[in-house]
This record gives sequence, structure tokens and C-alpha cells, in this order.
Amino acid sequence: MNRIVNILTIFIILQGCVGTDVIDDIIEEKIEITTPIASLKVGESYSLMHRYLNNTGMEEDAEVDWFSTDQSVLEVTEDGELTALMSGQSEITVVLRENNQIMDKILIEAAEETVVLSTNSKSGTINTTSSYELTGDFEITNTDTGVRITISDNYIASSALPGLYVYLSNNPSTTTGALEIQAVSVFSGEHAYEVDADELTVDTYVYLLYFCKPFNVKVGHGEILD
Amino acid sequence: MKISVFIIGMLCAILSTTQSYAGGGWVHAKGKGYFKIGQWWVIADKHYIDDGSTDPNTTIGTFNTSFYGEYGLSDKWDVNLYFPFFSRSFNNEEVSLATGQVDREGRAVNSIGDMDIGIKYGLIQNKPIVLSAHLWLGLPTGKSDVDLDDNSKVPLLTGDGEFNQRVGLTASTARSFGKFNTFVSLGLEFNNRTNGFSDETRVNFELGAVINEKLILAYKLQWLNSLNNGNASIENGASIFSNNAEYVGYTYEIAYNLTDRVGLTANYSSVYSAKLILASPAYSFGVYFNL
Repeated sequence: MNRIVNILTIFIILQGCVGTDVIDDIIEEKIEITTPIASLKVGESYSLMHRYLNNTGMEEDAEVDWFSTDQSVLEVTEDGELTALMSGQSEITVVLRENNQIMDKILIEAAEETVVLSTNSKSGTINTTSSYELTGDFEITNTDTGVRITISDNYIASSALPGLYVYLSNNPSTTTGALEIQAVSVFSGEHAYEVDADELTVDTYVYLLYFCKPFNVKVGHGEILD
Repeated sequence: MKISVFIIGMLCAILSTTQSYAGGGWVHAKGKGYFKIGQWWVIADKHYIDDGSTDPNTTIGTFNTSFYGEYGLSDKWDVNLYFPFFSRSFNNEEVSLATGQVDREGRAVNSIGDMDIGIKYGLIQNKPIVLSAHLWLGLPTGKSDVDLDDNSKVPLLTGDGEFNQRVGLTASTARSFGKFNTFVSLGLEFNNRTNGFSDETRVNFELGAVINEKLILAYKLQWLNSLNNGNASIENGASIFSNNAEYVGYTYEIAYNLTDRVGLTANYSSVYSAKLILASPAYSFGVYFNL
């Protein structure tokens, strides 16, 4: 009897312990100038804005430096305050202070009037990054309360996996920090998602992301492009 | 010892997870039997999808500690029981490489697993080729109460939640070459599943040898085919409890008789091709007792 109990004890002790999976969610850090100004009227000033996305795609405060290639045309302060001094053009650069390899540039003209380019719509193509079928074009447009994502009629997605969800994200490798839109219920053809959220625009996220939520399997993504 | 009597004892020693195939076409003599306490497990970080290719997933695993028994009620009838009295299913926690933070907690559930009870009848015995018929009833005694509306967690199951009935025929033959006793079996099985799960057919082939009445080596080939006639609303996630799972798999088994009655067994199972199952080998070992 003792022998049987010992055998059973050994077997039960050998039951698996919960381990750890390490998710490779590191992406390149990124800094963006978020005020797409094309030209500034000579004599006027304009506050340039930026955002820094860390190595997980999360927005984070960071110290930056601003530079102008021609300070006699367009002067920029360390706070990003831009002033047009005389007609011409200059390339404005924002650089992450702790890593000057991370930067963004914009070419701005000092001219007779101020022109700010507003992006109301972007588009992209969804592609599978897994063995599951997923493909299709999409367009994302601003609405009064957020964005509308219109999936084209060439869209096809596998219905064979459970819990397929669609997200907006700045990191194509993880749903951590992503905005969950909803479970996918349409697996072919044209359809749309209305996404309402504070301060959500077509510029907020970089990827339309498809994940199998319960098993945390990435199925595919589409980069949101101008 | 008659070769057929010897072979059935040896065959029982190399049970795989396919309990219905145990013993091949032979049945026990009245009052004889075979009992085993075993451990079976699979851990997988990828799975076969519905087109046969593989994709990664959160590492999940299932462990079954079980009792298995066969007993001869008569020289024609056996009764069988597979009772996984402790079944554990788990998923790993997920940690961000960038931040080291836990993105999703690991979980585990423990319960008894799905139990099988069965009978086997020897249609042709004591002939060069023997034939038996069997019926197994798969009871949904495991844990299957997954909330399909909660997609934030890996569905951890220790049972499929359906009552199934498996009927089949197995033919076997054996031949002796000095200290080598060889055996071959071929089995056909139909699995009638309920609760929206698709029915299945299974073909089993086994080739083995008993060496010096001590060491048993066997190769098993299993072909599981889904009839895809289930309810489409059943989730198709790959696990050991998936609907519409299919595979052509194989098992290498080894067993060793420590005494006339007691022995040890171990096996390794994998697949040549598969759909909707975990893409990782399964292992088992156990201690058996021949009555």
C-alpha cells in the first residue's frame, strides 16, 4: 500500500508548474512631429508638437531638442516654438536628447501665409503574419468621436481560430497598450468599425492589429500609412 | 506459455493514450487482468491549424495521472476502465521582454479528467489471427465549463464536455522467432460524439516485439479522421479537446517486466501530419501489474 501511495505521490508531484513565456515586444523607439505644418507666415510663431513612443510603442514623456537648418529663416526654441523670420525654407528636426539617433524631420516654408496640413484619412493593407489566412485593404478616417475603419471587399480572414480580435496599436507584436476594437465577426468582404475614444484620430495609432485573444496568437497586421 | 496469452500480457504493458487499442485483438482469460498507474502529458507552444501548418501560442499543457484496468469477466468478455483521477491543465504567464512586466498571468485548473469505461468481446480467439470488438463510453467527467464569452483567458480544460461512444474491431496475430515474439494488430474504430462535436473514425496499426519475455518494443501508427459533421459553433481552437482534430500519428513504446507481474512502461507520441491539435510530442510512463 505504501508503495502505491509513493508512486502516486511521485506522479502528482511531476504535474507541470506554470512557467513563463517571454514576449518579444521590443520595437524601435520613435519620435514624431505631430503638427504637420507646411508653411508659416513671416513674422508669426507656431508651437510645434511631438510625441515619443518608447520601445514598446507606448507614448512617453521625453526630453527633446529642436533644430533648424536655417535659423535666419525659421527659428526654433528648445520648447519647439517656431518663428518665421524671413522668406525661405528650413528643415526642422526634433531629436531625443538621450539618443540623438532617434529623430524626426519636417521641411517648413516661411511664406506669406500659414498652411497646416490636416490628415483626415489614412489607409493600409492587412497581411497575415501567421499561418492563418488574413488579407485586405482598409481605410481609416476621422469622425467627430474617433475614427471609422472601413475594410475593403478584398478582405478575407480565417474563421478557424477562436477569439479573433482587432485592435489599434503602436506595437505590432503585442496587444499590451493597444486599443481593443472588438471581436471579429465578419470573415470576408466589406465592413466597417466605428471606434470612439477620447483624442483618437487617424494619427494616434500606427497599426491595425489582428490577434487571437485567448491564445495570444498574432494573426496579422496592417500598417496605417498616409 | 501460449504465445497469445503471453502477447496480451505484453500488449497491455504498452498502453498508449489510445486505451481502446490495448491488448490488440486478444481478450483476457477469466479472472485475469492488467492494471496500470500512469502519467501522461503534453506541453506545447505551438499548434497545428486547420490547413496542417503550425502557429505559435501561449505555452499550454495538460497532465493526466490515471488508473487503467482491464479484467477478464470470462474467456470472451473483458471490462475496461480508464480513470484520470488527477488532471491538470495550465498556461504559462507572459512577460514583456521590454519591460519585464507580466502581461498576462499564468493559470492552472485541476480536476479529474474525462473517464472511459469499456467492454471488449473476443469474436475469434485461439486462432492464428484473433479478432475482438469493443465499445468504449467516454464520460464527460472532466472540467469543461469554459466561458466562451470571456476571450481574455486561455480556455483550460480537463475534458471535452461531451459523451462519446467508440465502437471498433481489432485483429491481431503473433509469431515467435526463438526469443523474439512478434505481433501485429490492425484496428478500426468509429467514435460517435455528442454536444456538437464531429464524429470520428480511427485506424490503428501496431507492430511490436517481445524480447526474451522481458523487454517489449512497439511502434504504433494512428490515423484519426474527423467526419466534420459537428456543430460549427463549437470553438475550433487547437487543444487536446478540439473539435475536428485530425492527425496521422505514431508512438514508440517500451516496457520492461521487472517481475512476472510488475513492470515499467514509457512511450513517446508525435505526428506525421495533423490539424487542430497541439504541435508537440506527448509522453507517458507508468507502472503496471498483471493479474
